[in-house]
Amino acid sequence: MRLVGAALMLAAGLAFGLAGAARLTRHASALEAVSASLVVMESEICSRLTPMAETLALLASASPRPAALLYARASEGMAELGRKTFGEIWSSAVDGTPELLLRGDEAASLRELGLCLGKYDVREQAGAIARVRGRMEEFLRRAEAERDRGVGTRTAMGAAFGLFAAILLL
Amino acid sequence: MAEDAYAVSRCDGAMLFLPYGVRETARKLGRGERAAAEEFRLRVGRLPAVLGPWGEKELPGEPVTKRDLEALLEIATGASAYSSAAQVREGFVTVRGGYRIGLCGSVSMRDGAVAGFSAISSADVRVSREARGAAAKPLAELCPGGKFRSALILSPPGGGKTTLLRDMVRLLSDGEAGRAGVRTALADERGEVAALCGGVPQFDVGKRTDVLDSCPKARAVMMLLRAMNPQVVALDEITAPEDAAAILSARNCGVSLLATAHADGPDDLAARPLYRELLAAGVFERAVVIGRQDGERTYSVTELGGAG
Repeated sequence: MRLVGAALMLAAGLAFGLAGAARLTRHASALEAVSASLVVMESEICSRLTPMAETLALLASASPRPAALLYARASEGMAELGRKTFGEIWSSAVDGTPELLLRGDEAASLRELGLCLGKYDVREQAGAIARVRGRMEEFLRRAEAERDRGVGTRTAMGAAFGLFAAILLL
Repeated sequence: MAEDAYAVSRCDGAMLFLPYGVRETARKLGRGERAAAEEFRLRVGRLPAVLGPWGEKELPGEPVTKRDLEALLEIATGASAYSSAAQVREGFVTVRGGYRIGLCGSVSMRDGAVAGFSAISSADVRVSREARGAAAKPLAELCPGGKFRSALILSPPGGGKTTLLRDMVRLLSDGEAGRAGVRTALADERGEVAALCGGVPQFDVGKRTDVLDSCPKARAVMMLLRAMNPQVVALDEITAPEDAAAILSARNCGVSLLATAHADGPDDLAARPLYRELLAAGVFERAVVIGRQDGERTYSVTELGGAG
């Protein structure tokens, strides 16, 4: 019986470690998806002058997940334009997409984009999108470094914790 | 009754572009006021107002704020001010439904040209309406023997030239009363006639009409001649010598022309140097003069003298 319990403790520790590692990987992937989608956004808005509603719909269908979810929510929110400002719609979409796994500073940067997006002319749009994309790329590099360091560490720590608990149990 | 319902629905449509607070107040206007409303005017620090035959009437509530005007522009452009930047630079935005929003405020300049508004201080939302069928009678007089003869529509500003031009273009294009429709090209520089929005005319300008908007009229006329092989070229407001030169070129290509001009009548027109050359060349054979009688618009067709 103790042997089974110990095996379970070991498996749980390992699973905990793997889940933490997977979260780091998903976080980096999400930031990569957002950064890539901002390149498309910049092109649509600044080169093709695609109206915002169409741009969001396009990004919702063409972006990799989970970035697509952000644009889908913003696209749905456009029905409320007039009652809410675009900035509010965009902020709600950022806050309403937990799948992005954004941290405080990352979410704040993305929310900030809503204050400029759709306003002013192409030059300002390009500047605002490039600025946020630059920051998201920095966040991505940080997340990738964290992932590279963390995946092995977290898996090993989880396994070690499970092993330690199993030894104690035995 | 149907006309009244149409007039009210157009006003209600225009209200959708107003900032939320102003819109809620405007919705409380009576049916008669909405049927006759011509514009909503918003000025920062002042109460919003509705313009109609009664003049400007203030709407109760809070004074307009800078944020209200930003919201108006955001709603009008669908949060896509960048895609309407060319129009914004000209001081207006044409929006879905064919409404037109005029803007005023502090202009920012870049390289000697208007780059946009650094701050908007006032705006007006025009309740544009179609006058379907208004052109039928004058058009019949412009088509002796079934062929359209080049004509100018004359009235002082605000007299209804654009509205009449739109209906005339529609009737020329679709054909009416046994007269076959003709390929009509519309040079709609300010987007007021067809009100293209996303490439779709927001007003009915006829099934054989090709529209070129946001392009200087003189250039647009030449582009339309080269690209669309029109039988009639229509344009709103001849205001510059280049427009007159383009019209002369078009006439030499054998197309009929329909245009509008600010003038009280043929005599007033002849007194203006810009039009003298066109009249002397006999480009326009007839003029439709818009007048008013008992509050109703009247249309009278007169011959224009010329050398041709």
